Amino acid sequence: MRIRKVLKILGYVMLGIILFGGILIVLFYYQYLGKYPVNAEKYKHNVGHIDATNADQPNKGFELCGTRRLVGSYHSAAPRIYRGSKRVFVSFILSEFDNKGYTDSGILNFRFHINCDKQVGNLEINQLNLNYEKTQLTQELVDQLTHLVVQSSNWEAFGGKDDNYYMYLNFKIEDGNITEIIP
Amino acid sequence: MEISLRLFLSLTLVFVLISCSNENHEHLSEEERKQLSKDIWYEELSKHGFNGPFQGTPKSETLLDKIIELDSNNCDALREKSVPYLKRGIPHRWKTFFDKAVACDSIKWQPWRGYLYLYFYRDYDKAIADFNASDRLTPNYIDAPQGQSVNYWRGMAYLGKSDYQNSINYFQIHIKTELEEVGEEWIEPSTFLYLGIAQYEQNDYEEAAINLSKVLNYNNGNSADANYYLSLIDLETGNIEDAERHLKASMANYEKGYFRYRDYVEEIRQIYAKDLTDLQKEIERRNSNIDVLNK
Repeated sequence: MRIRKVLKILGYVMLGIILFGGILIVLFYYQYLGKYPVNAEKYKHNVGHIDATNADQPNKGFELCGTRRLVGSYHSAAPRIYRGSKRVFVSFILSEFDNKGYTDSGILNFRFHINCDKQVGNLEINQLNLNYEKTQLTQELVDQLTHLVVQSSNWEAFGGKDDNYYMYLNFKIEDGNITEIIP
Repeated sequence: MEISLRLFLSLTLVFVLISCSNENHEHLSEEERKQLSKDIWYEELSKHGFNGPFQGTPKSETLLDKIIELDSNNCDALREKSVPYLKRGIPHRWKTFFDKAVACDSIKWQPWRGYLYLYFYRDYDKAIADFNASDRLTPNYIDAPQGQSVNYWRGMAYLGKSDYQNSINYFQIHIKTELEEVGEEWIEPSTFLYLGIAQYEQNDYEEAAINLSKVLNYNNGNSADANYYLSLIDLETGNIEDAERHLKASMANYEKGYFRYRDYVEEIRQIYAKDLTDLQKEIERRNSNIDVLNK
């Protein structure tokens, strides 16, 4: 009789603990995840997402590899993504770029993905003036730098075999010359 | 029955809490809205904050919109809206939001914008203009965005701009102020590195060597950057043996990761392995010239 009573009390205690733990888990979930409503109409993706269907250059068969995981989506895959080092990339760009009398000043911003085969795709191009506002730079200048940036020889796939990478580049242009390459 | 009742009450409590989060705030006074905006902001900071994986997510952006909707002058939230655009390289969106933060609280955010112009955009003139503005905004206080004084950052900006005399002037102002307040051992050693580099560029090898040696002194001899520039100075002054010694030390430091770099963007005047091998070739070339002359 006494054993049954003890077991009953123990059962209640166990049930109480389980219930209390459950409530704690629900509250924790609510505090850290559940209480954040999302304006899904305004924010469909994380900041920095590139919509492949709106790419500024034809993708020519470009596809993300494997699980489509993007290394560097938080702040770009630099510096490890540069093949050799950024110094090598800068040397290549400066040696190949030809200022054919351009007088543009501004920022030419590229955002793109690099897949596991070091192919560049989903390229978004923003042409900005020196006050960071959208503008139109000389098309030939833009085309030249686009052609140089998309070369797969610039890039090193440093992650897993199915990883893809997010990368951006800002070319600061002054009087048609490249004065800074970031990041 | 008793258990079912408890379960029901607990679940009710959770649902009440959840429903409270979605309440309409239109009935609140302006002061109450501002307070709520502040409360939500600090509540979030006390948890995972806006940095890390949460930053720039739809959840984070929606929450920031709510904070700003409650108080359009929540300057910290306005600034936070800009951060993922900065890190992910979208300059026009970053500037739109950060300019709002500066308009909202220029004392706090204008020197910070200067720092971001300097490092994320290498926009030296805009950076210097913001640092100068911070002098006018807080005439009795030297602002220190990202932990260094605006004088230090002006030294960096002028160094990036290759205006070496102004760079030296501002680093010296920074050092003088720090010496009056704390003492040399508390000065960030990179101050002496970049001052030394500016002096090297001005061909003031003697002063440059003194400052670069301080970097080694405060870093237990470990600085690929300082050793590299000391090697360059040795080469310029014809001390080939010392140039080799400093270059060897620089290479060893570099190998172990003792060189200046940053996580999100390249460091100003960052050195690379290729710089060291190029210098090695130059030293070897000078050595072979000496050998030819000796024969």
